[in-house]
This record gives sequence, structure tokens and C-alpha cells, in this order.
Amino acid sequence: MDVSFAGLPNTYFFLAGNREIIITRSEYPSHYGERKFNGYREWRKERSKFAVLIDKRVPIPIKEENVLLYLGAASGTTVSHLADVLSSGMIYAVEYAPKPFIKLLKLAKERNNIIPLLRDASRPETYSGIVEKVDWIYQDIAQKNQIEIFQKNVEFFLKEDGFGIIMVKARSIDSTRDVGEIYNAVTRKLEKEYTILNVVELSPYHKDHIAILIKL
Amino acid sequence: MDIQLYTQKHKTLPGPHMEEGSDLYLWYGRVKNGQIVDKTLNAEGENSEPLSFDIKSFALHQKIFQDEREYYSTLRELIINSEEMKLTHALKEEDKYIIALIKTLDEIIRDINLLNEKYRELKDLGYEDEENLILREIKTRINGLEELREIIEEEIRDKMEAIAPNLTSVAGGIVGARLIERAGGLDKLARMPGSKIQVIGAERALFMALRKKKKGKPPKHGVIYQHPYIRTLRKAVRGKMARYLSSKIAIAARIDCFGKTKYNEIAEQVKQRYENLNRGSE
Ligand SMILES: C[S@@+](CC[C@H](N)C(=O)[O-])C[C@H]1O[C@@H](n2cnc3c(N)ncnc32)[C@H](O)[C@@H]1O
Repeated sequence: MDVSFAGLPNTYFFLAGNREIIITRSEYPSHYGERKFNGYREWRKERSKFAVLIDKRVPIPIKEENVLLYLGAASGTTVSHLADVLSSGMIYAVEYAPKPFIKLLKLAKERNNIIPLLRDASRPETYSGIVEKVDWIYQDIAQKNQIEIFQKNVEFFLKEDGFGIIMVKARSIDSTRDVGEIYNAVTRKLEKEYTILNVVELSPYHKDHIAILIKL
Repeated sequence: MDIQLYTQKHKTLPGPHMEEGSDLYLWYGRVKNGQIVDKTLNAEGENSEPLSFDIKSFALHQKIFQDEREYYSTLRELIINSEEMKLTHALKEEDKYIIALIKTLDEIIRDINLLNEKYRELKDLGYEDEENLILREIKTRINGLEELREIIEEEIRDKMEAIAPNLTSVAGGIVGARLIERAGGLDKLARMPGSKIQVIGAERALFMALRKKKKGKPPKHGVIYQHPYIRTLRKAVRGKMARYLSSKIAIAARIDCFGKTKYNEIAEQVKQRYENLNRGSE
């Protein structure tokens, strides 16, 4: 196979025809209709914002044995690939909507490194006796108060040398203001507390979305 | 408490002194003054403040588990079980919400009808909007209620798509929700055969028909008769379509109740059958 290392554990670029795609090494079945190539699963950029970061060559210093807290896991599209990446690590996946949680639970039963939590991410106290201190907090909840929610979770769970990734959807923060203005406001808010490592636009795969990578 | 081992120094974390005397609820037990005092497993580990130490390192240091492997496998099993139970409960709660919305919707529709009737009565007496305050006020109220009706219908469709995607694609959000309401829940609907679903909402008519021992004609105005695929057909084939539609609704409800994956084929088949009947090719 014509593959090259993508910078994250178990993650590769692969030339399928003349299109470059991202794949993760995985002995597990397809989770959201993605293609399988003997022992690998395609990580689809249109379906997962995280994949766009890899596509755009954003350095993400994640290690195979890291522990990650995922806020807004939905049905586990991205979680399924992160579980491949963190093959000897652990993912605590928080999602409060029952319907997507059905599929997330199924995924968690298949794997041994996902702990699914049907809880509200704005109330980290409710899982404070369950989730350990983590290396990463990944948030993709598209909520107006998502920055406050992120901060609370950082206070509860992020290790001193931990990292965070926040996906921001401009329209969920404020549907009336200019997109650039919203991004600036969000970034400024985060700057006060954390070191910002990178701000990445996710277009064209996810319109009016940015990813912000931070370090404590 | 051996603080060195599990310090987690971050500016926003409280110092270990804050934990003295207070109980900490961890999934593997209760901790008091740095000692584990009760080893009952509990999936609801709620503490109002961030803990100043790492719960996994503490457990391993205290030898509550042999190793990390045992720590994780115990935790996974505990949480997967607890969240699965919570999920079943939460899904039930969601259909309760839909049922409440349908009931609200019906009352609003009744009010709209009533107001429309009164409006017409007044107009029949020769009054006009321009000269009569009451007529104008009634009209305003009707418009307001129509708006509310739309908002509620939108919410019902939204929630239906979430809890019963297959039923929604076959029956439509509102008809599907009415069926759930009459059946008393998605799980109850899922246990009904198609023949029973066909007469949901026509129970009274069915009862009358049975009492009068009128042979042949089953009632034809159950909830599913509100479905556009039945309403828009010739009378002669409506019964046929109703039978087919209810059998597919039964399947869709079962998938939603037990499996949840969305299968577009069912709605496709129903559409196909409708088109055949509509063209008269059947
Ligand atoms: C955009 S989707 C996430 C998609 C997912 N991250 C992926 O890439 O596969 C956002 C999810 O966040 C969930 N969510 C929003 N607010 C939440 C909260 N306060 N607690 C937990 N989940 C939340 C929503 O239910 C929804 O499933």
C-alpha cells in the first residue's frame, strides 16, 4: 500500500486512486459507513472535524497511551478513530443526547478503550468521581456557552501539561455577528487562560467552523 | 494522605486541605480524610469541587485494584451497564415529551377551530373586520395560535426524527407522534400488529361497528387516514393502502424501538406502493 505516516499514532495518508485520504489502523468494523482497506478504516474529512486538522498538517502531539476526555461525542464518528489512535490509551466520551448515545454505546462495547458517559458536559461535577486526570480535552458541542463548559472541564480534569482542542461553530455562538468577529472574541477569551498553539479554519469541509488548539 | 503521589497542581485546583473532613465520591468507593472508607462501586461519582488528586493513581497506590488493566475493566463494565440503563430510561422520557406535545397540539387545534367558528358566526351576522374590534382581536388570536401550532409541530418532527427515525420516515413526524400518543408509548406501538395500528384512533367507530354487528366494513378514519398517501387516493383503494402502510409502520416502530438504525428502504417501498395504487396499476 502507498501509505505515509500522518504524524499521529496509527494514522496514515493513503493514496486511493489519485485522492489522498486519511486512514487509521483498525481491526474493527466500519462504524459510520466509512470504507475499509484491509486492517485500516478511512477517516472521512466531511464527517469528522478532527480529520481536517490532520489533512491540514496541523501538528498534534498526541501519544498512543494518552487519556482523552471527549465532550460532545455524538454517535462516535470521531471517537471511533481516536480509539484507533489511542490504542493503548483511554477515551472518556461524554454525550447527553440519548439517540446518538445508542450508537456510541455500541461502539464502546466493541472497543476496550472507550468509557461512554450519558451526561451533561456543562456539569463536570457529575462525573468528577469517574474521570481521571487527562492529557487531552477535545470539545465539539456547538453550544453558545461552550467556552465556559470547556473551562470548567479543564479545571476538573486537565493535567498540568495537558492540551485541548475546541471546535467552534460561529453560528452557534452568535448567529447575528460577523464570523471573523466571533472567532476573535472566542480566541481572546481563551488567550486569557491558556496558550493558544493554533487556530485552524475547517473549510471547505466544515463551513464557518474553526478549531483552536491550546495548551495549559 | 500521601499527597506527593497524586498532586495535580494547577492554579485553579483547590489544595488538598479542602478535602479534609469532607467525603469524596469516587466510582470505586467513598474517600474520607485520604482513606477509602467504603468500597461499594457506584456509577454516580459526584463531587462539587475538582479533586486535587488523580483518582486512578490513588486507586492503584491504595491497591484497590491489582493493576491498570483491572482498574479499567471494572470501570468500563460498571459504566457501560449504568449508562445503558440510563439510556433506556431517557429514551422513554423522550416519548413522554412527544406525547405531551401532541396533547397540547390537539388542544390548540381545537381552540383554533372554535375561534374560526365564532369568527364565521359573527361575520354571518354582517360584521366586518374593519369596523369590529372583536373580529380583529379574534383574528389576531387565531394567527398567534397558528404560529404556536407550527412551532409545536416543528418540535414534534424534530424529536420524532431523533427517537423514531424509521417511523418518522414512513408515517411522517406528526402522524407517527399521534400513533405513539394513542398507543401510550413507542414501546407499546412496537408491540402492536399492523392490523391494530390501522385502527388506532378509530377505536370508538370500531366499537360501534362491532356492537351493531355490521358485517364487512371496518372503520376508515383512524389516525393513519391523515397520512397524505391515503388522503390523496381514490376511495376504492384507500383500504388497501391503509393495510399496507400500517404493516410497514409496525415494522418501522419495531426497528426504532429495538435497533435504531435508519433504513430508507421501508419508506421507499411505501412510496412505490402508493404510486402504483395512484396510477391504478394495481
Ligand atoms: C457536532 S455534534 C458532535 C460530533 C462529534 N464530535 C463527531 O465528530 O463525531 C455535537 C454533539 O454535542 C452534543 N452536546 C451538546 N451540548 C452538550 C452538553 N452540554 N453535554 C453533552 N453533550 C452535548 C450534542 O448532543 C451533539 O451530539
